[in-house]
Amino acid sequence: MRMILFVLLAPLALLARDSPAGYTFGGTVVNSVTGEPVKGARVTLAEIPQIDPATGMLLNPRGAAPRTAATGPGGEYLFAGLPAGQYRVDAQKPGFALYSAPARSEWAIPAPDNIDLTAPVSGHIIRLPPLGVIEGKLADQHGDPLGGVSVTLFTNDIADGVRHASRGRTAVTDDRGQFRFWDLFPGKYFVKAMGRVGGTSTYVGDSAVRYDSWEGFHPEYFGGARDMDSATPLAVEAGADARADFTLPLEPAFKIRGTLENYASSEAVVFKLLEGDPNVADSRVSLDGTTGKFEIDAVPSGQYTLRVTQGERARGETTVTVKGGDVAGVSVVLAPAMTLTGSERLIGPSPARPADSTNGGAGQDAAEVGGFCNVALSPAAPAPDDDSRTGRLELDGGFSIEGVFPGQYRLRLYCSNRYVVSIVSGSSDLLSNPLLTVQPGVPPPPIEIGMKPGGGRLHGKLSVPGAHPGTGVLLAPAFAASTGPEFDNVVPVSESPEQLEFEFTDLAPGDYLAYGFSSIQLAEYRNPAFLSALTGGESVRIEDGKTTEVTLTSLVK
Amino acid sequence: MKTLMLGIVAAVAAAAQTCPVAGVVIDAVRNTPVERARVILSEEGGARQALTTAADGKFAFSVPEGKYTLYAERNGWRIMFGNPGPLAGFGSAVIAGPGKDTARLTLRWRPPGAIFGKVVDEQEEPVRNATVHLMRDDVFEGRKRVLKAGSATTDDRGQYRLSPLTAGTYYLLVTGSPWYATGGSSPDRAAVYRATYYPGVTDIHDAAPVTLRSGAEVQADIPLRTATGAHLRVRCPGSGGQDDDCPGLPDLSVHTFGGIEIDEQPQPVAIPPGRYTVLLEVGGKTARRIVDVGSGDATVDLTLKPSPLITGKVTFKNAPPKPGATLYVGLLDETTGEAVGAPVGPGGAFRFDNTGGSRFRPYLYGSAGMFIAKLSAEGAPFKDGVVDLTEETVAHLSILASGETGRLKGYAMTGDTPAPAVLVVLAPREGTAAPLGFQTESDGSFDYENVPAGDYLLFAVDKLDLEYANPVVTRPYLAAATAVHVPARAVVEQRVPLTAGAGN
Repeated sequence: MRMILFVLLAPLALLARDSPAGYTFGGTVVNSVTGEPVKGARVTLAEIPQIDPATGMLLNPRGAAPRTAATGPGGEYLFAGLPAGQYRVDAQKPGFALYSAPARSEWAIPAPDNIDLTAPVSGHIIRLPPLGVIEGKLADQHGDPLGGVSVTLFTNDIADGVRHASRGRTAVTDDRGQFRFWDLFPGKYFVKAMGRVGGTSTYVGDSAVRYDSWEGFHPEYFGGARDMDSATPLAVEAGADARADFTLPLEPAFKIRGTLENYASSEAVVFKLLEGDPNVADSRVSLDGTTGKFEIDAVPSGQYTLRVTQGERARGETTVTVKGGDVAGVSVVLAPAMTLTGSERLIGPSPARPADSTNGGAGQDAAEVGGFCNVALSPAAPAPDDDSRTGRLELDGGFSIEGVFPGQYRLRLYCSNRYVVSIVSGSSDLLSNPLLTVQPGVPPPPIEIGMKPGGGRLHGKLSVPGAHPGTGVLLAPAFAASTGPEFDNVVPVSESPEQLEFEFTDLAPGDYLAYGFSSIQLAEYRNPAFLSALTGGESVRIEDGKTTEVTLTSLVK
Repeated sequence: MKTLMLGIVAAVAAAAQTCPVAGVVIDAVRNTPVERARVILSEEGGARQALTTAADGKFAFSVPEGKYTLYAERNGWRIMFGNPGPLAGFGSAVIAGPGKDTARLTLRWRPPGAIFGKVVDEQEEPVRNATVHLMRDDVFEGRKRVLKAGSATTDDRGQYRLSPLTAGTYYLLVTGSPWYATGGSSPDRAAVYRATYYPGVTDIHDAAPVTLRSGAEVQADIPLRTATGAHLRVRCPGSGGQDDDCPGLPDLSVHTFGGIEIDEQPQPVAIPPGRYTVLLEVGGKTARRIVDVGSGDATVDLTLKPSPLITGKVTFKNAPPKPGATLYVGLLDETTGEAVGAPVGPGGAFRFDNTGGSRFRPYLYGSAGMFIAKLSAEGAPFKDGVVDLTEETVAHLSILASGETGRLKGYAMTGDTPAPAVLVVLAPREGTAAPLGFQTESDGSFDYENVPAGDYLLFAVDKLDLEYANPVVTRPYLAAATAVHVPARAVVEQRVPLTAGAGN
């Protein structure tokens, strides 16, 4: 009922505002690259709420309902009968970036225009940034189209200081072997033919869905590489179509047959045949849901790591060599995921909080300074399918991280009102080397964390021409710190938005270097080689319970 | 051990008597041999052999006497011997043995087709994310029906492609919403596209078929018209909810051909005019209403009632079915061609909890040779073998099952030559049982293994998609058909001449 009422009331509200005394506001929506008019775009004009500072009341209560206009064939739009005031105007059209789209450093998206309407306005131009397209065709060596192939986009981004592949969208080739991705932000993309669609089909009894391919191909990036490091990315320009036609040589294909040990029939199973690169489609497999017997289809000759994962419960890996014939009798032992445990130990009394700290007031005693730490375990060499795992210290000072498969991980702690002075697992010092190797079936010794209450604070200003939100500061400790280097974006100072400031809290006392970066996308700070090559950092010393002030006047990158 | 034994037996048999299964894969459109086709020959439940054709399209296997399935595969498309496409006909088995000519087979490769096109609005702007529903004219068990044959979503250019497709007659229906109506609070949000059939019509009677031939690509562009959507309020008076609110969210589906329902997006803000089914299933109760929504807002009141219930009992005329197999009662939906089944318990009881309202043809399956000799229904009308159920039906079916069957086999003949891959129809002279169809094998043979004992008319026709369950269609054929009596527990052999002309 509420919905219907709204529809009835909306025209009334508009009528009331359409006074002849109002102003007009109009202009054109154009493609920001070509300058061509954009027809059929929706322009939204919303009055910015004005609040009376004395009463806290809205001065323009009717400003809540935004108006919309569609652009005509010449991209033109017009609003009439507008009262004077502050407005925000923006435009939308499929195929163009929206302001709400995620910001990427390579491409700054313009913010909506703020308009101070005190006179009629005409000729206001809104520039919409066009998005890009990748399309292509897969064919075999005879020129026959390859349909039913899963094609995936990857980007190679830096996130939290680690360069890693991010999996984007997936398309499936049609009967002509064609695929298409649209609405792509400009940037570099890797295109990979991941394998034939299919995945695992589990059957019971005789109802096996048997794939029967006699030819197959090795998953391959556009350009011919089999791993991302040697693949050439495809550059997508704003508003442009990039082509990725490629030939996948078909080879005779064989089957791998075997049995899953410790198979539990309740949960879905994913089979992956890896040839170095972790980015492949789930293999086409028939799995007997009663016995765990499996048959993998369409495997060309090669050396593989067969990785089988059952939900978040268990995983097994084995190597398989296929050489011109079917392989039988492969056994994959599913080992249950492990649980990492640990404990914390608080060392020493809590110092007084700094007088200028944001949570106000000096002289809190140790009991009031609660504080906590989150423990994060992320794969040391991140692959798109491997999620990070996190645990949280409980009140009793213990923590556990569940669902950990064998592999190498990076351990990090994010603390509040505390800082870490030691991390030990058995004889491993994880503070100086945060890489933790988890062997199959053997959980590592409990992780013991020593920490102190309090910590220091760094507050700074970034005074660099052209700096903008998105610019950030890297703070790298000159000693072993549990968090490793940290990155934080700068924010405008609330009283004077042209100034940019930053803040790091809960820092372990010691010497640090602070660097200005134009984007977090440029800071591969978990890579020791990247860190040691950095120059031009500003030295800062952090002391427990105190705030250090610093001003950065240049950007490293 | 058993497998090994069979292997030895097969090897011995092969040594004793091998038969050639050989021929050529011919592209039925271009009339040329098909290169790089995978030809697969498999024995029922047994070993399989495969090869890939060279430029001459030829294949040759050597196998023991027996019944085989032969098919060819290329670029993900598969054609069975004697079959026009994956969705049509029964296929013909290859019967290899002494005196059988299986050395010169022609596997007619009918390449798939595609339907593609563009969906645009009144301003010729491409419509993204529209769903193009594909429906296909089909003959199944001698009955004509329209069935869902897939769907595609339009891309950023408003383009879609439906492929690979078997040759046939198709209909297209597009549903979707304007991009600017899918969120936010702008007044545009109530804009909708009317569900539109090819070539751009909203009335189902104006929908035009798309005829697709093998290997062809047909362009079918569909313009959409924008309308102001209506708000449909669904109430459940008496359900105890505040403001007569329903105790759950109803499903909404758009009505199309022959009652085929296309699911709407979940709870659209506004819906285009059209005919809808509103369905609410909650806690063992069901309410279903068909509503015609015009241009204005509408309210529909639902009354939740216990879901339709069908119980029944099977009694056996002579002996109960052989132990080991479970007997099922099936209900074939006469509208959609879909079937549901329920197992028959030890005492003969069966139960269907929620079939929905439709016209159903009961049948028995799961135990070879069992058929319905007599059926009576309480609580629902039963006529011509079809029971008519409504949403509120609580019905009881009494089924008398019989295993009194015989076997009828023979050959379809063109003069003195066996006719492979033709349709043989066996129509009961009395009663309401549906006629039985059989596609002849490579040697022209047919074999009805479990036929209810009785009197029949038998004819053969070179038209695999004949609507043989339609008495109007079969009348001219039956006039010249061969009369045959099938006694219980007997094997009758009968030759049947191929009827001249293709009828309608």
